[in-house]
Order: sequence, then C-alpha cells, then structure tokens
Amino acid sequence: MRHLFTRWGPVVAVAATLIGCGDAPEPAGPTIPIQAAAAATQDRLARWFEQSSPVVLALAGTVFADNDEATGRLAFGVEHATVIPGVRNALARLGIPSSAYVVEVTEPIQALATLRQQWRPTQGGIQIHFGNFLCTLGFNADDGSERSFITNSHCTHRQGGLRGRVTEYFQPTSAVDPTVIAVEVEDPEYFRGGVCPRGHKCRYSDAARALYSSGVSSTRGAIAKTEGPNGGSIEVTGAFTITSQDNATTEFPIGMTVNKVGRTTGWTQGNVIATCVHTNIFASNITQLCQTLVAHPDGLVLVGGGDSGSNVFTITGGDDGQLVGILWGGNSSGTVFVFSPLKQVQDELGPLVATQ
Amino acid sequence: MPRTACGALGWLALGGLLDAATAAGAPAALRPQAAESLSLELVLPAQVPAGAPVTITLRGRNGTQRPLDLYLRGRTTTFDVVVAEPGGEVVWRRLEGEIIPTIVQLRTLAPGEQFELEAAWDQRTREGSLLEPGEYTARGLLLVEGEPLETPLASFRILAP
Repeated sequence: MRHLFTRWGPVVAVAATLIGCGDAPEPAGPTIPIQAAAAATQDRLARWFEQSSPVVLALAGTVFADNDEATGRLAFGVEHATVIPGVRNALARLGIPSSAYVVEVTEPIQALATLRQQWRPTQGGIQIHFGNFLCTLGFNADDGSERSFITNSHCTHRQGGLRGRVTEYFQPTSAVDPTVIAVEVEDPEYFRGGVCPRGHKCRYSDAARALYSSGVSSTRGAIAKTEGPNGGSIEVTGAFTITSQDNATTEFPIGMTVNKVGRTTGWTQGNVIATCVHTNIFASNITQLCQTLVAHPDGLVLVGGGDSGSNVFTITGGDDGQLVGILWGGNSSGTVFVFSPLKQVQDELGPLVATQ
Repeated sequence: MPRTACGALGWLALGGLLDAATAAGAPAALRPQAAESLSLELVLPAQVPAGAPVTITLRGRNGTQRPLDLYLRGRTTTFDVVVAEPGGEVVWRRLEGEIIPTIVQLRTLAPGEQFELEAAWDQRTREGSLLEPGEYTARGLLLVEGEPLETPLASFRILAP
C-alpha cells in the first residue's frame, strides 16, 4: 500500500511543474538535464526495487519493501533490529549501495482476525463449537484453582445436568483444530416447583462452566473487541479488559447501557428495557427466572444466532469493563437480547473470578 | 395431502444468502457454498373453516446437485409465520414476543433433500380475537445465523361459518 501511494507522488509533481512552466518565462538551461538525471535515478531505483523486493521479503522478520521516490531511496521495514544485518547482506549481494536504501524497524502488518477464527490464548467473545452447534465463549474465569470458561447451559449437549454425553468444546471448530479445548464440568439441573410455573422447569441463569484442557492457553479478563458498537463487524481490533464484576445485582436500572461481544454480531450495545423478568423459552418448558432484557433505542439488531453465551458488561472507562452477566437469547428479529445476571450465574455455579 | 395455497407460487431460490453468514471457522464439510441455494415454501390449506386449527408447514429443499450447509437458529429449528390482511396489515405473527435461544445449529442438506417444519395456528389475532372470514396472506421466515430466509407469500381464505 505504501508503495502504491509513494510511487506516483513525484510523477504527479513533475507533470504539474511542466504544465505550470508552459506560460512561464524561458527557464534556465539546466532544467532538461536535471530531469533526465532524475529519470535515470528513478529507473535505477525501480530496477533495484524489482530485484531486491522478492529477495528481502523472503527473509524472516521483514515487513515491507518500498520504492520511495519521494526520498529517492528504497525503504525496507523489519520487525526487529536483529533482522537488519540480513537485509543489508542481501542487498549488498545484489550490488545495491547502502546509500540507495534505508532499513527501519516497524510494526508488523497483520490481517485482522475475526471472532470466528482460532484464538490462543482464548478470550471472551470468540466462537466455540460442540456437536453440530456454534456458540460464543462468554468469559474466562477461575473457579477456585480451575481455569475455566463460562457459556450457556443450552450450549451443552444436555441443557441442565451433566448426565449423558460429555460436552467437549472446540475453538473455532473441530475441523479447524481438533483439540478439545475444554469440557463441561458444571451445569446444574433445572428445578421444578416453588416459584417455577406449573409444568415448567426453571433456573436463574442459563450458564455452564467448562474446564480448560491443560495445553490450551486462555486469558482471564480479556474480551475480544470489534469495531463498534453496533457496527456489525466481527473483526477483532483489540480487547476489553474486565476489571471488576457485579456480583450483587439482580435488578438493573431501566435505561442502563450494557455491551456484549458475540461471534455473530460482534460488539453491540443497548439499554436495559426490563429487568428481573421470568422468561419462557419458545417451544420448550423451560423458564429462566429473573432475567434482564436489552434493546437499542433505534431498534438496531443487537444479537443473532450464534451469540449464545456472550458476555454482558458495562464500560467503566476506556476499554475497561465490569462484567454483569451472560447473554442467552433474543427475539426473532435480534433487536432484543436477554441475559442472566452474573450474581445468579454465581449463585448456581459458585464463585467465579473473571477479572484480569 | 392438503391443497396447498402456494403451489402455484413455486419455489423461492435463495442463492448466495448463506454466504453472509459464513463462519470462517466452520467445519470444512459444513461451510456454506457460494453458488448454491435453498428453496423454501409455506404450505397451508387454500381454504379453512372459520375457527378451525390451521396446520402450517415450512418446507425447505436443496435443489442443487451438491450438499448445502444451513446455519439454523435455535436448539430446535425455528421459523416465524406472518399472517396479514390483503392490505398488508399484520394480524398474527407466530414469534411475536417470543424469546429464542441464540445458538446456531449446523445442518447439511444432501442434494435434493428436503425438510419440513410444522406449526399450528388457532386463527386468533395478536390481540387474541378470532379472525374474520376473508382473504389473507401468509409468509414464513426461517431463522438462520443472519437475516431470516423468507418464503414467497401464500394466499388463503377463511370461510364464513
């Protein structure tokens, strides 16, 4: 990119000069020889660039190669100063004098990864896969000494309870990486009776805990950040840092702004529109008790299929956030999402440490 | 076999719609494929007696020669039905006010394979009253990872008692 921008700059400048000179008084004699010399230099640089670019960029740790006509020199970028001697040697072998180029240390250029790609260490907001389903890794947390992540109970083979087939998780999918990154270890049974509507089974959170495999790295307190909020991007541009947890709230103020990051719709943000609502799940006999609903004032889409398990947090300053819950559902159009408060997650799973 | 109100409307091709929902890391065998399409239709009786329960079927079919990958929302596949008056005013929506888990199920349809999803409707409006006899339209929306996939409109008549 840089090469493209710089290549044509001087050419445009020369053309502008020639046009401008048309009405000017007779120029001094040396103009044409100077231009000819400049053209010869540019030709030589272009030739050196063609020769050197593939050789230099083949070296480990190189970032870019540029024919920088603005300075009349070639420019090479490297990740570390330790790479510079190798570049100089390669150029010397091609007969390119050191006066014809500069080598500078620069940031590596990386294509932006998305929430649906492989992440090690893992962090909140990225895609996980089990069976024939895709969900979102909500947040990393320690349960005592157990390094874990939290996702939805419905993002397990059996919603509620550990009987039957053990849920093994892959990230991003088993096809991309067959490593089992974690297995479900905690997912309380849904209960009947008491406050639970007749014929239904209930819980206060849609949350389950998965224990990480020993060889899989994870970052506690990190949530992938995408461009946004509500921009629709799933390209990861940074990270939110969970610096605190709301371990007490079950009823959130109406209008309170909360955020989530999920593998389908990325970072979205909306306001609490209802809180501590007993919520029936469509086409099931499950009721989630005391849940909180979130929407955007302009009716923007905040959630989509695959966002199940997304973290829910408030921004406390910059990219720092306070974890407040876990998202599990939404309406059919995606303009409303529902989350279980973190307090209720911990009431059912036990104390969790999710901060960095 | 009930008469279908939508038979004359044919299949709706939805080629390419799944591309937007591509999961970069989806299992290789289940990745959406660009030039393929899913055909959807909504099947319901062309005429129904007033007040009688109506069975509505959403039918999907892979009309291509290759496997087709679907990213379906919910632990069980979910679809919406929107019933409207001839002027377009919606009188009933199956998923109105409903909360659905935001999990995605990956399903591959073999060439020619079709699936059917069924719903029952008691002819009541969103306000809970029985619909008046007359002409109506219905369309189905299959919930997927991104924008729902929509069937063509199907017309039906509620007969006077």
